[in-house]
Amino acid sequence: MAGLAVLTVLYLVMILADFIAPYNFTATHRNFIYAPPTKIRFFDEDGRWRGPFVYPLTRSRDPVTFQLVFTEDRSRIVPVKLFVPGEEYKLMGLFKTNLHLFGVEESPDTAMVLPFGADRFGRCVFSRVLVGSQVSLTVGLLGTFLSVFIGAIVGALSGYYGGWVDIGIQRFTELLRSFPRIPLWLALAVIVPPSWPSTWVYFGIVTVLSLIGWMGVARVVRGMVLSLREKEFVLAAQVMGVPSMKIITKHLIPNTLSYLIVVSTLSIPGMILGESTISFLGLGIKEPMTSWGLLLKQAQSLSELQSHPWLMVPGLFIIVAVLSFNFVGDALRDAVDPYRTVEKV
Amino acid sequence: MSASSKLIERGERSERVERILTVENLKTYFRTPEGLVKAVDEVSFHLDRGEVLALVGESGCGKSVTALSILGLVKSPPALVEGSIEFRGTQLIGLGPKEYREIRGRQISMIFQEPMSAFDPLYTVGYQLMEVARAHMPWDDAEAKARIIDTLRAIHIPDPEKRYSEYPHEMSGGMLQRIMIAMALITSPEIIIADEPTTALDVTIQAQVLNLMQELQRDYHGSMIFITHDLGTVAEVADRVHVMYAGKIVEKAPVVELFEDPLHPYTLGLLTSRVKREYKGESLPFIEGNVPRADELPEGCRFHPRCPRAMDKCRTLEPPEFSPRPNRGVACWLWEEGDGR
Amino acid sequence: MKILAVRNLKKYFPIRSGVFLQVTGWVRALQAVDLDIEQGVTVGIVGESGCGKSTLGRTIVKIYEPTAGSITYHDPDGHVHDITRGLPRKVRATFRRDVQMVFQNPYDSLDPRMTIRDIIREPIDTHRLFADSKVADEYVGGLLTKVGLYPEYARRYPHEFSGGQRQRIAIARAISVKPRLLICDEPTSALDVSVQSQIINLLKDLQRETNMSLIFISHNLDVVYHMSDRIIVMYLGHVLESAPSHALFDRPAHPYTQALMAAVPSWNPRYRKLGEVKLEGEPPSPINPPPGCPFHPRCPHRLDVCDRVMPEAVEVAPAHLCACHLVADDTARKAKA
Repeated sequence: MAGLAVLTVLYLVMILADFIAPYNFTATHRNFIYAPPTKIRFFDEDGRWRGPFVYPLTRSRDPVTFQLVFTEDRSRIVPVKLFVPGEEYKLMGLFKTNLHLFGVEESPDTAMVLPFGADRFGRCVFSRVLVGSQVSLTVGLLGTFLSVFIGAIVGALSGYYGGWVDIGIQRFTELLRSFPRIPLWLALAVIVPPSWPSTWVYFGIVTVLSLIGWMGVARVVRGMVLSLREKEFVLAAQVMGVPSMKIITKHLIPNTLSYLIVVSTLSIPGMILGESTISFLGLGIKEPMTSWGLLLKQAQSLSELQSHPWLMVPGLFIIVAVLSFNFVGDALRDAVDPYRTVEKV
Repeated sequence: MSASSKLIERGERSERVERILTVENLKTYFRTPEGLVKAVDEVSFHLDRGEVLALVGESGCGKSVTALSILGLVKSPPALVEGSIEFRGTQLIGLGPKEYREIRGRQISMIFQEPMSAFDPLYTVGYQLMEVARAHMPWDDAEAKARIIDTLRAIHIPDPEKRYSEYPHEMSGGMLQRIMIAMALITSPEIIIADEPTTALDVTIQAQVLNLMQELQRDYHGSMIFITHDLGTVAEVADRVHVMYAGKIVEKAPVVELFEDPLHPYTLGLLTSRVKREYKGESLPFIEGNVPRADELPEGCRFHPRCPRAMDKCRTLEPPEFSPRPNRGVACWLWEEGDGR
Repeated sequence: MKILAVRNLKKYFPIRSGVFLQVTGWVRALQAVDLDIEQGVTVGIVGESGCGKSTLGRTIVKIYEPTAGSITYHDPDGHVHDITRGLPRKVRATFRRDVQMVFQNPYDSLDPRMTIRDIIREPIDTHRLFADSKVADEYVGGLLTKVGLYPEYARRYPHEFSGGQRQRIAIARAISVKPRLLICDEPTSALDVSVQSQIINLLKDLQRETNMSLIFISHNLDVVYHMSDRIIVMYLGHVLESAPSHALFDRPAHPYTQALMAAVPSWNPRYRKLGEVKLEGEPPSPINPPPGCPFHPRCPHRLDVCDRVMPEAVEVAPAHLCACHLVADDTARKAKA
């Protein structure tokens, strides 16, 4: 249940990412390079309630360590307001607006509200995580849908027709499965030309991920179909003269639906992790699009992490998403389990 | 000893018969998401030494659950098992697991319906028979094996030494059923409960197995509870018959009287809806309607929606058991006054 | 009018083992079966497990392909088609409408994910009986009423019904396309006793109404007798005896048929007859059937020749055939006398 709630929140946020984010995810801000997360306060120095606000930050270099240091200018209150006009963007890619859910009314030269800090270019990490979710979360859905779709059909054909069709398909899938997964992903990802525009790259990555995933589904569906096809309602359909393809699509695959639903929810996390891995290694999503994996790419070296630990936040989001999908998948699996136990009297 | 021996009238003769099992007001209820399932609902009966009692009924009547309840195989909680099951002076309801294990498989044995699934396919039948011997009997392995082979021979299994080392899948259903009987016999139990032992067998094999069971019963003077839905087999093996419907016993009678003079409309329906040669060319008699679902039991007498002689009373009040004739019991309002004609 | 003629039908299933799945043996499910189905006639097929009766039903309806022999189909216009190898395209639609089947397990023969309406509509739509969907749905309602159910049930799912009701639905589905031949494979074996008679009555009524032919497969002798005009007795893939039903029951010729009848309980506790059954042993496996007559290892009247030569079918009375050496000798002797 909790898993479902979290996922709903994540996906809602994802859809409205550009709106919820206070800044455009590609906008750079020179004065806030590597800025730490800004604390949103409610009480000022005298303890008075002022509503949500931040202090403006000024950047200076520590004379001793030569590290960049940000100091709060406590003299000025910069309120954080709702529905603030800010940087322009296209809501859901459709219409232009510049309204953001929350933000500050000052220019980003002097004050910014940065819940997760900023990166090397002064880009708001919070905004980038939100927009990155669009890629990470949908890749999982699309890739899983594709691989389950392909896997179900291949498995059903294999199981129903048997004979050479079955043998051929089985040997082929075994061949593919004997390759190690991540290197295969990487190899296929490399095939996607870097010269492609990033949306094409996105779909290329989705295809690559799903091409590996369908095999497990195919094997299980084949097993289910093998036992289903001896069932008398299938024989009855044959006797009635129902054509084979119809038997597969109307009788066999729908009866594997409970498995397919469960396996889908459980493979989405794998896809998310897969995309994150590929992008982290630089072979996946390319700029200007971003994903959680790509964001993590910038949090690689230990010294970076030491000085700017907030760059790891995308990893937290990956964990939360994957866990939520697993919980939901487990719950679904229990719900479709025909062997429900008897309650206490 | 004297507590469990009672002087009982048996037909015209009085003989000293030992009452081995007394079941009183047995209730076995299951809580399911669909509601409370009263699988066995206040069932009372007894079993004497040396007799074969048949529990007859269709699916869902509670006959198998009764057997499982006697053997303590119903996990309670979560199910609810109440009432009294007295076996040779010991109260079985509430008996601890350790004590139950002394009785189950040793003094009360069970034979199941599907011989193929009652055996573990990974072990030889000899191994599985030895398991039973080792668990309950004080013999050493060599003696156990010898006794097992003797038992196999006694039930007419050809080449018993060879069978001992065979796996279940190497044998036919009829042969396995006989091995299961052997398994039940090793410990020389007081009671054998046979749950649909011949339902899964072909009719010629069924005849062989039934003959075998009768022969054994004569030779060893054991007691048996024979559970089935097939009245034909009941006629061949039983001494007394109890007819069950939807969790209750609706009629009790000695076997001849049940077939020649059935009192409960359900029994009559079962007997007449049998396919007989005389009916060729005509419509067969049948019982209207269907067996009620366990969570949708009718008010009053559970059989009333299907009963051709249902009265107003039957729709609201559950009939108790009346005894219109000696050694007979019938739970039907038609017999309240002693004559239901 | 003839509907089907089956000659010398054989069906062997290959047994494969080993890494390359070579054929290491054969399950000889059917061996040389002859059968004729005429319009309006019910043929009963009786036998114990492994005798091949279900395989026969399924091979006739082309779920399985015959290994040898021939199946000839006479379509409603009188044209004769050889349907032994596959189903030629031009006859496929006709055959698949003309011949229908009711299966044994009512819990498996209806797709659990479809409503009753969709289940019964499937053959109707496959054969495009109605152009108008509403008319088709009314027809479905009529079918449900005809089999003793309420038309409202069309909206429900199979799991909401009992075994007997599901079997009725299966029958409604089968007769929806008005077949001339209905094959019933143990239709009552999985049902409660009190419900079996209902289904048998229903089948008989439908047959009377439509004059369709029935092939009634069962292991229950009494039920087969009640339903059939003619009965064939099968054992290990062979037909041992075939006769009009009353002739089979009054004068069973084959020792196996006699043993079968002796083994049926009498339902009379005063006369316990099973003790007289002298039949020992079990039916052998159809993988390695014994040579000669398949029944000879268990036959109390076994002759020398029985373990070498398969007996031919001999006519012991008009339309009463029996494949047994002993009976053949007896018949020959009586003919000479």
